Amino acid sequence: MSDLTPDFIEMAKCLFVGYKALTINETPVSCLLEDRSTSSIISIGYNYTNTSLNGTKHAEFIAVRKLKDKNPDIDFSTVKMYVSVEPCIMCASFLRQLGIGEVIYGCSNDRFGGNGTVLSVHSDSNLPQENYTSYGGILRTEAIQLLRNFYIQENESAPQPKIKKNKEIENKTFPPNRFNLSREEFIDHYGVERIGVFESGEEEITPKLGKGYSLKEFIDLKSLKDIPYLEEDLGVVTEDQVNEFLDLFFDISDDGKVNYSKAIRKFNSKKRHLEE
Amino acid sequence: MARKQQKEISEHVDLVHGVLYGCLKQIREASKSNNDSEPGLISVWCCEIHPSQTQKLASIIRDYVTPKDEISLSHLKRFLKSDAEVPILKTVFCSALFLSSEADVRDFISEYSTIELLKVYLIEVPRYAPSTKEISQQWSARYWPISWKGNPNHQFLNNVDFDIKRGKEIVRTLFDELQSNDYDSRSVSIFTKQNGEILCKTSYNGSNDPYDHSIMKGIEEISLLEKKSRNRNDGEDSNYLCQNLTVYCSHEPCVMCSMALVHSRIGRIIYLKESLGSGGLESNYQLGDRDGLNWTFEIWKWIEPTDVSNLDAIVSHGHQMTNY
Repeated sequence: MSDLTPDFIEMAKCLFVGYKALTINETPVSCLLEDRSTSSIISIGYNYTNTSLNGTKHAEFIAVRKLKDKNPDIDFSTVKMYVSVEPCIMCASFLRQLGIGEVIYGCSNDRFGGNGTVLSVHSDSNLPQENYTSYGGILRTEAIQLLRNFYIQENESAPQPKIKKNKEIENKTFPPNRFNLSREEFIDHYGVERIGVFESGEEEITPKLGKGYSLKEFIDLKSLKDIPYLEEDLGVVTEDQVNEFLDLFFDISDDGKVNYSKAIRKFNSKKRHLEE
Repeated sequence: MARKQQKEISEHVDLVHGVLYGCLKQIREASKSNNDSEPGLISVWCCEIHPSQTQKLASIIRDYVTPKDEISLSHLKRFLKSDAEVPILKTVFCSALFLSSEADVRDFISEYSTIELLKVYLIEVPRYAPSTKEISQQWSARYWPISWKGNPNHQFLNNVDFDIKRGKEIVRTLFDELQSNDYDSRSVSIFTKQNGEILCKTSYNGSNDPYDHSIMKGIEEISLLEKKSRNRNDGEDSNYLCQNLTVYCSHEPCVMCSMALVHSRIGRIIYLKESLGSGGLESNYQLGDRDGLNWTFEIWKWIEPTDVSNLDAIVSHGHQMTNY
């Protein structure tokens, strides 16, 4: 049976990058680029649209820019991307034009998703360049919860911010788990033993089948401090931040369902500003 | 009213082909223009109230729903009197995209007023206004009363605000840039304000680096201009992204660039040459004029015959599969 722990470790680091972006009032969408042969992290990206006043500065663009600056002739087929949210239509086309090796994402992008949710830019054979493979559902509920922590903040840079309702995100449940994959594609990637997750729509992918998890199993202060570019871009990583980050999320039980009995917290930027 | 509008139709508008001044051809999603037999339907929330509450609900719709609901319901009559013994009024309150559950609808209304909602449920209504009065009557009988105000696209075409003289000048500039010897430019974009003032000109040299596309470079330049201006003015007169700018392009932008223009909230694009394999407008997906994305913009193709043949001569070396 396949053990997906390495994917969960990388995605947990990726989500922490998103959390650091949240601390500078950016949407917590983030990504890591990994060298497929050595499995080492070679770049990171995070949404940077608010600071840059440029609506195209999505995590994928930031991460690829860094990598190309260092290695202009990189062959992207050797690169795997972990991204917390399914790439939007723009980013999906960008990754296709680069010839990315593989994309693993957390939750689907209901409004703009270009890897199967709104359009299938990654697998549309009418388009130039090759299709690329894309799999979602790793730390899906955690990626959603991190986004909810952003959407309860007011986005002051958007004109006429919408009235924010329903800030009770500590008790909110999650939408059904749908994969943008055929049954065959799902089995091919996640293994036939996990087909129940595909069929029920109410369970999450776990690193080991039949065993739940807690995010703290995958990361610690040292492994987060070691993420390249993170501290120089988004500031020092502290123990307090790691603890606050881990407190934002529910655990997943052995049956693959979210364990709502854990008391979770929400990110509070206002409180943070007062403390500083 | 309809007759008066007929008189106001200007000579520069070709309603049948969607062409203005013989230069600008409207590019639209086929389903929006050929919707005559079966309408595309959309779910909306219907609220039943006592007729005495009409004013209160109407003002909530006017002030808090219509400005923010991404689905325009202006082609529908909002209120429908029921024939029941006890008079009730049925209302199309908002789209199911705006509020997703009955509880959300009730919460939303209770935030602004104490209206007693007798019933709240989903109904299906035509997504777009019909193109003729006869179809309007059929749909009204079958789904929900339609408010017939003439063919909506004809009204749109008659009311497009476009300075054709300035437009032709900008297209000249586009050609000048394309033929400039300073660099090897395969395609060019020009970002302008609504009044035609040029903000930046960018070009793409045909590299295989997506960051080099003229649209991506233009969006970047606009953000840098905005940063400078905010530093000077202390935030006064600030603009949001590329909101409502007009973008002129020699080529239909690729999928990435077309979606970048959606994210950047431009108002209008005018391009000359289609990119059959790679484009994100008429060639694939019709981005910019697509339901469900949070922004739309006008899409026009510059079809002035001399310009089109000149461009073909200049860019004959271009490849259909190139992403512009």
